[in-house]
Amino acid sequence: MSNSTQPYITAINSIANELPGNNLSWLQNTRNNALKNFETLGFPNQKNEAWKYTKTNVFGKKQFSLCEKPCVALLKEDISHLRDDQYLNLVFINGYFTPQLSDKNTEEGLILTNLQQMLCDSSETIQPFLSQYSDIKNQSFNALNTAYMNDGSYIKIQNNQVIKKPIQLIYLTTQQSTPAMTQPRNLIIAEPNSQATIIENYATFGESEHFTNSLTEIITQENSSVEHIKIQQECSKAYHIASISTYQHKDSRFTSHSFVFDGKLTRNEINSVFAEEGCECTLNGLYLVSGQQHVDHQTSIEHVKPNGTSKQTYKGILADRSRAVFNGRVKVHKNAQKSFSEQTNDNLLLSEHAEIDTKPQLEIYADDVKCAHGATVGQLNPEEIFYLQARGIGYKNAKELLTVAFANDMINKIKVETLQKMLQQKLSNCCTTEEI
Amino acid sequence: MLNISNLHASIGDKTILKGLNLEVKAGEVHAIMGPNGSGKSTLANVLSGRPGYEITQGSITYKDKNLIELEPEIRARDGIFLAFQYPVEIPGVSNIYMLKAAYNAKRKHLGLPELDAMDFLVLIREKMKLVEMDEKFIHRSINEGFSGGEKKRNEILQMALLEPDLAILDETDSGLDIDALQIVASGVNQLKSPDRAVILITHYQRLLDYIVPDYVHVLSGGQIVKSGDKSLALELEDKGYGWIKEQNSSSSQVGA
Repeated sequence: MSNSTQPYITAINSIANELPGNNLSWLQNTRNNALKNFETLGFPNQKNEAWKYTKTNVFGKKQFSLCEKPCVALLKEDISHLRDDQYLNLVFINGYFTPQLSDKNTEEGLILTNLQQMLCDSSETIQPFLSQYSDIKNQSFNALNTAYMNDGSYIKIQNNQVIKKPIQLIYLTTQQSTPAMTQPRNLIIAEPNSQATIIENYATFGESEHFTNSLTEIITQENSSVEHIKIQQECSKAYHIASISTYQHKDSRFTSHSFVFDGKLTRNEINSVFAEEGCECTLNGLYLVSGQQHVDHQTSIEHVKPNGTSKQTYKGILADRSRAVFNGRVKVHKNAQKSFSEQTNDNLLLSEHAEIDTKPQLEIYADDVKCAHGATVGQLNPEEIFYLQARGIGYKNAKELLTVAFANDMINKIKVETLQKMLQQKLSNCCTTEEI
Repeated sequence: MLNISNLHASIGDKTILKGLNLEVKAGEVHAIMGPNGSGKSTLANVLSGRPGYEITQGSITYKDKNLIELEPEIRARDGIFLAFQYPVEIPGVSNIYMLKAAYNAKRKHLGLPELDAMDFLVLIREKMKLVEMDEKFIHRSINEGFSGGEKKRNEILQMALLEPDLAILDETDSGLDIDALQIVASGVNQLKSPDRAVILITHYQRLLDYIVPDYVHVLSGGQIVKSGDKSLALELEDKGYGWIKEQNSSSSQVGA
């Protein structure tokens, strides 16, 4: 047992009796196993290849405790920058579901509720799915989340249903007096032929140190389609570890967009398993970091069955002494013939002190496949800057314009118009405030 | 309007312009011709403020100001326009966005109110007619995937919009077929006015059939070695640049 994990284990043990569904033996088993794994694994260190460039010693040092329930009542107006009436919003403050800030589900064929409710009322519905798709055995942050499992969202899109309204999960952490953490947990099930867009939006009120460790499991059943958008805009003192595990059935489509605008340390792990034929997985990402921010994307796509398509496009803009890591792994199993896979990671370095470590990994065991990968690291092109200057556009402005242009196509992939506008605004703010 | 005196300019440790003198008055069209490597493009680059050139001697005054001290964007806002020999492709920035930003930067510089999107669209549509450009081009990324001719027409569109006091065309005619050349020429001719001046840098006499210069200068070895009227261009076409070189070397021998 390592010293760094002990305070977390003690804390979990002390609240174990209060956790929702603590009377269910299957859930108790899941939690206990997860806790044991977490104890054995400890926080990953840099000897672990997947954590080579991202340090986790802060979690041992800071000893984040669970966030208190918020005592100040927030109004919808207070979070108008996050909420959008065109979406179905589910709002969590400090990890606790907040019904007065959330929307009632108006969509037919959609079950949208908080996880705690499900654990208390209809645990048998979720038992076959919960914690079945994420790696609890080898991933200590997943194990930690599962041991704590308290609240989050449950989304089920029923057979043949197309949900027009985007569903937005807002995870907001308020000002904390001591380093505090939340452990959001989401379970998303898209039944056959269904379709939905789901946004996970992480933000902070104030500027206090906090830690978010989220875990999302997504099951896309036959011929369903899920578009998932994750926005990380927590404060510059936030530590954010997130894991998304997708399990794809026949002919299903999964698209993920990851936007990282802020946070001291952000790590996004996205895994998808093509359990049946004809799956399609598109992973897009855009990260903008400055100061001493650190962002790490780890993706893994398992082409287990034939005729699968995976596409990954990640772009990064790094200023000052910031650092980014991209590790994209694609494994094409022996039977997964006619697989198509491509991945790119393009980075714009705005400072000579910024650093990117990018590593595409292709493991191919089938012989009839088409796979490609590539990564670029570059600076703004002085010819382009001069061209704009020669038309009267100022030097600083020209650089901003070109920086935005580099990133813009990632935002243009978002089809939800209001969200696209919000992201564009966010991008342009980042590009003007960062000393570029 | 523009007065260049004894200009010496170098790039790296290579001196390219070696004592160039040129005076351009409002209302005039000057053609600058010369063999490859004579310094034609360097002159255009130095006038527009491209980084990387060092001016070691001499002076450039534009509208009675020391041009050398000014940033490229200030020169542009103050009426200098360079049509690039090789226009740059800028993926992700739409043509119309740049055009509007450029136009409003100039308006602001002149103390005029900026134009809103609607008014600007009306204006740019009118200018597009001049260069016979389809509207879809202004919504595309700057020069991205444009043919050589389309790129040059896009330069002329920008020039028509910004209405510069001093337009410098750096081999805008190179690589153009005759139809595109005529469009470029008519764009320049419509810009001509008693308040404006044009410097045409060209390798070929052909352009001067469509834009008639008041003066023709021959640049060689970093200096203007011969000046004349439009007949000089025809003479060059006839005899080639070798003739200038010979004449120049014999005259310098005589001088010695």
